[in-house]
Parts: sequence; structure tokens; C-alpha cells
Amino acid sequence: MNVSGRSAVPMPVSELWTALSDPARLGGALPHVDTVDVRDDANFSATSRVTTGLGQTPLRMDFEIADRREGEHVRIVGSGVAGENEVWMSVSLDLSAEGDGGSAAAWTADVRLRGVLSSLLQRNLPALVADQIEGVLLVAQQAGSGSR
Amino acid sequence: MNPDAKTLPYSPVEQSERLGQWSGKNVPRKEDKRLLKGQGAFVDDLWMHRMGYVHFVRSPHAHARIVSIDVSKCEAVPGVYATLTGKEVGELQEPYFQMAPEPGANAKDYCMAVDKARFMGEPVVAVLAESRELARDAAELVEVEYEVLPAVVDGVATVEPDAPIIHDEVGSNVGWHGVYDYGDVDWALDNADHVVRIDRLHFHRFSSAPLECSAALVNWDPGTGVCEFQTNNQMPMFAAMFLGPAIGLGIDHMQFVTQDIGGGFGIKITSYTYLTALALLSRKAGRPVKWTEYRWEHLAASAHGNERTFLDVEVPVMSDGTILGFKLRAFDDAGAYMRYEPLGAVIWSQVVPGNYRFKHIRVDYTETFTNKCPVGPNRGYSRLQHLWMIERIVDTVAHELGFDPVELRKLNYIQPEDFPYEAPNGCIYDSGDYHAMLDKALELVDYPAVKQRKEAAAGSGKRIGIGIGTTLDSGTNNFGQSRIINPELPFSGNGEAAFCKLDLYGEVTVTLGTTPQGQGHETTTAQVVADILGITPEMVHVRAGYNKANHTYVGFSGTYASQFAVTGLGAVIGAAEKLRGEMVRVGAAMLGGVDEDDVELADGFVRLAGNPEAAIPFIGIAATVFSNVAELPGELADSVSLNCRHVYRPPFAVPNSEDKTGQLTLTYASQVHVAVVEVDEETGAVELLDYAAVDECGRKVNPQIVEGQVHGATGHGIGAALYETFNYDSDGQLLNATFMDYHAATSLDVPMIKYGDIECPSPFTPNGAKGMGEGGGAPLSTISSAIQDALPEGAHIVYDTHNPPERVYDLLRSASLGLPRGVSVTSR
Repeated sequence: MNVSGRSAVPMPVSELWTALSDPARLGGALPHVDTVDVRDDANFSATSRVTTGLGQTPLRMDFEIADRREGEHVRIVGSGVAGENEVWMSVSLDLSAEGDGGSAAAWTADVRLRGVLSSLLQRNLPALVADQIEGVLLVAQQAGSGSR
Repeated sequence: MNPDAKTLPYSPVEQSERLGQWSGKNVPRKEDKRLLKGQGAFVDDLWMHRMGYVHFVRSPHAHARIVSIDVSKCEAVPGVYATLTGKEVGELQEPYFQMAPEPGANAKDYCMAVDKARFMGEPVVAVLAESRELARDAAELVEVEYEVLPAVVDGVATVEPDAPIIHDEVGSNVGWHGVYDYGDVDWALDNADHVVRIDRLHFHRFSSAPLECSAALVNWDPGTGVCEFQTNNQMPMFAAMFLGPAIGLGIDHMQFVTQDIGGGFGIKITSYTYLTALALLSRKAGRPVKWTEYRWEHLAASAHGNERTFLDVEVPVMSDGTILGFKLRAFDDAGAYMRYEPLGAVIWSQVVPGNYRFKHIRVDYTETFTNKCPVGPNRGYSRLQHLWMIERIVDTVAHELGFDPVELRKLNYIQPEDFPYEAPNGCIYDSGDYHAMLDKALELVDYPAVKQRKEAAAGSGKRIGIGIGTTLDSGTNNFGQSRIINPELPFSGNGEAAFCKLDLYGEVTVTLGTTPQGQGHETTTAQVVADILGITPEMVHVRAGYNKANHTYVGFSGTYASQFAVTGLGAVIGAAEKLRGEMVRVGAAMLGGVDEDDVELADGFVRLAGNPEAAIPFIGIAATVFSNVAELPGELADSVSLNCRHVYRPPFAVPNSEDKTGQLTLTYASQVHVAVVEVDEETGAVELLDYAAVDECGRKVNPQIVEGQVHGATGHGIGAALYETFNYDSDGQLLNATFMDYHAATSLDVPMIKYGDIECPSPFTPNGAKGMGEGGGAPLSTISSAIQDALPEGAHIVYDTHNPPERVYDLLRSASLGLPRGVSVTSR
């Protein structure tokens, strides 16, 4: 399923790109994250509990920051399991500077579920993905504020 | 009477004259006393000392090779008792017996995926733990590595050469293929005045929504070697046929107990795969194991009803409207495994001409494998697909050739004077009057007024449609029909057992071989026995449910295929008559050696007719036989037990597997429904404005129970027609496995049903009754017909059983867009 959106982030685009390109900060920004295991500057694993609307589903994912162009683009690919289900995702964020000193993030997500979650979530997957990405951007922003 | 009646394979049977005081009355259901007070016994209510709870890890993929399974982290969790993997199953279980001949028989079916998963939701690992929640949590620690394979989900495309093979041992995705050819359809097509051709018709996948999903508490006792299954499987003796050889248990080492099943509908027949896994897990863990299916598991991975596609339908029609028959190709999608299949490949032929006098029929039938949930019997199993197709043919012929759909039906229906009627394949329709039923259904909706309303609605944006659906509920199978799909199968005939006894204190107790699921067996049995023994239904104790150790049974025992009123009660009548005979003999002796013909049973006494003072209460008879037996003449004492078993056997012969003919079933109940719908031109939404259902099922034992089953079946069919369908994506992912998206019809969706009935007693059954309850197909036909009637001229024909707003919207638009209509007519 393809989901897309656009978000305004009140932080400079360079800082936002830095936060999204850093596996430790990116992993820590995942909503409801329990653990993050950074393997190198592009790969990390994370466990989190995603609220699906039908309870919390444990998610164990391996992520790779597969593509990055400084200050403008990040693509993150992840795969893993959610309970007995399999999850694969590819999220691209195209960043741009806004006039007020903030940033805009135009994002697209291709998310594929295998297992009963594909049934449970077909109705609310777009909202869930949007919520996750907004959450990442929000935490990245907070982390950026804290680091300054 | 049909002039050929003298050549019929069986004659009218003698019917009991003692039935009638209680049989035929609306006796309140005995079962309801416990069910309405929350005192029913369902499997999830059960508990055993030391039992563990099971959670199944299921494949998220529709088709994937299992590379590895690691259960070590799961088993390390405190409170986890054991796991069972597919690999272990491959070593512990023999593949299930397959009913198909080769090559379909070569498919290896186990209770869990052994080497590869073939549908989303297929069990891969079972986890046993001290609580249901812990089992579910621990299951998340099971690591399964899959090699994902291409999936195929289309029941027709799966036979294409480039389709991924689901069972390598079979060599293709064809499970069974055969041609049914009756009359001379080529002659009919050559000589008909018109030939109507329909490109494609599709009967969709749906299921049933039992109150309790599948569940079982299984204990493999290591001491006795007996495995006890407390389960809501609805046909334990069928399950035993698969279970026993698979896990090496003799019939006496399998004990089955069921009580309040919570609705079966057929789909609980194939739960034997879960019973197998639970038995193996219980043996491994050395403790009882309990499993209750979640609703999503039930919808995704228990059993679906058969999905069938009809292609290249050709219908020869004479200028007066006489339909000569039809020719088509049928593809039945069995899903990943054939667990009750390919019986569906022959069951439909019980109703090969539907309710009509079609003579020339050729069906090229293919049963296929796909990467979807296996199918199982579902209300109206296999016949309702065929009957829906026939009703589509009739409506399409009426529309394309300009016939009135009512008059066209009446012209082509089997006429009332034709009964008993021999169908082209040798099936004998016992009785019926479809004309009277149609008239009654039309009267219930006030047909003339509705036609006026339809005309008045023109141009309003709301299109009114009137639809007719005629269906059959063939009951009491001849299992010999299985030889038509596989001549090597050792099955034929049918039968049911019952046990009736007079106990020590004069109580009358009955046990059944059937497995009731809400059909009121306790009540109707009590009515019949009360009539025969001259007592009231309250005085008859019918043991609830089924307990293999205490109940009598035969290999066909169970509740399925609309047969209890015939086989179940046939056995009850026989057992009660035997008991009555013994009581009369004992009573005659105790009354001083009077003539047995002068003895009657009434009001709980065995008495001398015409002399109420000369009477012995039932307790007197029982006490004498059981504890004062020296009072009786020795010869009499040696020949009575007051414990009487009877097996009812319908008069079937073995069908001819060469030409696929024979008596495949004994009775033909029928239903005629009429629906009035309103279709919104802007949205395609369909609203049911009025609905009538007229039923005929022979002599009714309890009319209220019959009416209740008609209501239930109609609701089920309405749900399927408008709301219920399983949507798979191209990867085989089921997209609606919860009630959030799979909308089972509720009382809010089903209009007030106008019920009517007529009675045409069956001449072939001991009580004149016919099995019933599977009329769920009628609303599918009726609503399709009504939507068709509401569509504008030039629209594509209604081609699918399931018609949600988006599909109806497309049909509405097809007319203005000038799209192909899916039908053509050649006239000479």
C-alpha cells in the first residue's frame, strides 16, 4: 500500500536531514520504541510496539538508510516481523527549506504486510503510517532542539 | 403420477400411523430452556486439570517454502509447556486419506504445514502454555524463515501452464476433472430456435458465522491410550475417518463428546485438521490441551464455502420458451487442500436440472487448487452454486428473449403432476409443487402492486427490481455418489442410528447418533417418540449432544446435508417402535396373557384397549423386566431388553460411476423466494424493500422449528448476496478477516421476512418429512434476479452472486457506456 503526505517541521532543513540520516537518532525517534541497536552508520534494528487500534503489536525491524542526499533526501528501507506477520517498508522523505527557517518534508511510504495484519490494517494503515512518520519527524525535531 | 413411476427404483414406503398427536405441532424447544438461561455447554466453557492452552503460529504468506523453524526462544519462556512444528507433524502423522483419484490423490495434506505453506493462515507451529495469553505472547518468539513463492488465487487461471504449482506431487493445480453429459446437448443446441450464451458467471467465496468458532479440549490419556476430543466438530464420525489413520488410533481409542456446538453450517466438518494437531500436542506434552479459535482465525483459516466460476454457458431455447438444457464449463476453487473435496464435484449433480424439466445438460467440471483457505461444506454445499447458475440462466433467457420471468418459470418448472420426477441423471425428485409456491410468494409481496410501484419509480433515481429465486434442498445423501468422482471409494448408501430405552424407573430415554447444532433434535425426537409410546414430549428424555461412548452411531452419523428429519427421525421411529413392541409383549403377558393386538400404549400406561382399569404403568413394565424378571415366561424374558437400537437405511443402490447416474439423494425440499429491491442510481446501493420466502419440506415435525431455519437460512443468504465476501489480493493475502471488514448480516440488514409454506409429503420417507435448512441459496438467486430486473436496458447482466454497491454501480454505468453485456443470443 502506498501512502504519502507532507509535513512542516520547525527546524532548519540541514538539522532535520542530519537527524533523519543518523541511525541512532532515527531509531530513537520511532514511536513507542523499546530498543535500538545501531550496527553502523546506515543500519540499525529496533523493537517497538505499534498501536494498531486492536491493541499493541510488537514490531521487530531491521532498517537501512538506503539512500541519502545531503540536505534534501533520505530513503529508509525496513523489514521485519510484527508478531506472526511480516512487514516490509520503504519510506522516502524529500526535504526542502521553508521561508520561515523551517523545513518541509514530502514523504511517500510503500508498506507491505503479510499475514493477518494485512487484513486487520487495511482499513487504518494509511492513518497508522502517517502517524508513525509524523511521530518520527516530531521526535527528530525535539531531539534537534535538544541538541542545539 | 409420472407414467414412468413404475420404473422408479424405490416405491413409496409405509408411513407410521402413530405419528400426529405431537408430531406436526409447535412444541416449544426443549433445548431453549438451557440455551436461553445461559446454561448451554460450549467447548470454551470446559476445563480439565493440568490442561494447557494452544496458540497456532500461522503462515503470513500464501505460498512459501519453510526454510527453518526455531522454537528455542519460545520454549525457554517459563510457562510454555511444549511446541509442535510442521516438521514434527511430518514424522508423527500420515497424510490424510484423499477422496480424489490420482493425480489429485497425490496431494499430501497434514494438520500443519510441513515443508511449505499453501495459504495465508495455515498453521506452522503450535505453542502450548499455561494460559492462552502466554501461548500467544510466546508464539511471537517463534522464528520461521520462509522462502516466498509466487501465489495463485484465481480458480480458473490456476490451470494455466505458467501458474505456480501448489502441490508438486500432483503435477498441476487440477484436483479433479470430469464431464457430466446427459441427454444430447449438441442436438439441442443445433435444433433450438435460440441459443443464449453467457460469458461468465461467478459464485463468490463466503462462509458462516457460528456463535462459537471451532474449539476443542483434547486429552490423549497416556495410561489408556484413549484420546478424548471434547469438540464442536459437527461430524465426529467423519473426522474419525481422517483422524484415526492419520495418527494411528483405532475407533475405540477415540472418544468424541459434543454438546452445544454454536452453529455448524457445514464448515465445522473439516476441523479434523486441528483435532489432529491438538492430539499430537497432547501426546507430546502429556497433558490436556485446549484451543479456541479466534474469529480472525475462523475467517482466514477454517473453511470457506466453495467458489465456482461458470464459463461459456450455452442455453438452447425453443420459441415458446421451453429451455432444453445447458452446456458449460465449471471451475470449482477448492483452495489449498481438498479436505472434503472433491465431493463438491458430484454433490451438485443431485440437482442437475434444478427445479426445471431440462433434459440436455453437459457440464465440464474442474476442481482446482489455489493459494487460498481450503473450502468445506457450507450451507447448501455445492448445490446452491449450481442452482444459482440455473436461476441466472432462466432470468437471462427471460430478459434476452422477452419472456415474462414468472411465466417462463412456470412453463419450465417440473409440473406438479410430474412427481415423482426422474431427472436426466436418474435422481428421483420425490414431491413438490413449485407453481403453488411461486404463486404464494408473489402473493405475499403483492406482485401486481409491486409492478405498479416499479413503473411509478421510473425516472426517480431509484430503480425498483423484482426478483425470483427457486431453489432445492436435496437431503439424505447416497454416499455412493462419491464413486462418481472416484470409483475406488468404499462408500455407498446412508444410515443413522438411534437408541431408545425404557429405564428402571419407567423413564424413556433416547440417544442419537446425530450431532445437533441448533436444529432442535431433542424436541423433534421427543415429539416422535411421544407419539409412538403414547406419552408427552416432556416424558421423553433425549440426551443432549453426542457422546461416542454413550450414544449409538454408524459411519454416516452426524448432522449434515439436510437429513435429520429423515435419517435421524427414521432411526428414532424404528427404535421407538421396537421398544413399543417389547413393551406390548411384556404388558400382554402381565395382563394375563391377553392378545397383543388388544394392548395399547397411552398416557404412560400399557393397557388393555377398552378397559382403562387393566393398565400397567411404564415403571411396572420396566421394574418387571429389570428386577422382577422371574415373573415373566422364560422365552419372553430372554427376548426383551427394553434397550432398542435401530439403524435407518434409505433405499439406495450404488450409482453408476461410468455414466454418472443414479439416485444420489432421497428427498427434495424446495424454496421459492421473491425479493423487491430498490437500487440507487447514484451509488449502486441496494435496499431490500420486501422479501417473501415460501418453503416446502414435506410433512413438518415442528413447523416453528422449520420456520426458524428458513429465517436463518434466508438471513445467511441475504448476507452473502450483499455483504459477505472474502477478498484476497493477488499475493493471496486475505484482506478482510475480521468482522470489521467481513460484514456478517445482522438483524439490521435483514428485512422482516414474509414466510409461507405448502406441504407435499415425501412418499419415500417413514414420516413423510424431507430434510431442510439449507435454503441459503435462494436469496443469492433472488437478489441477483431483483438487481437484474432493476438495471437499465443495455446493462451488463448480473454475473456474480455478491453485489456490493460498487459492483452494482458498474452494472448501472455499463449501459450508458455501451460496454459488453456478457451475453449474446443467436436465433435461427
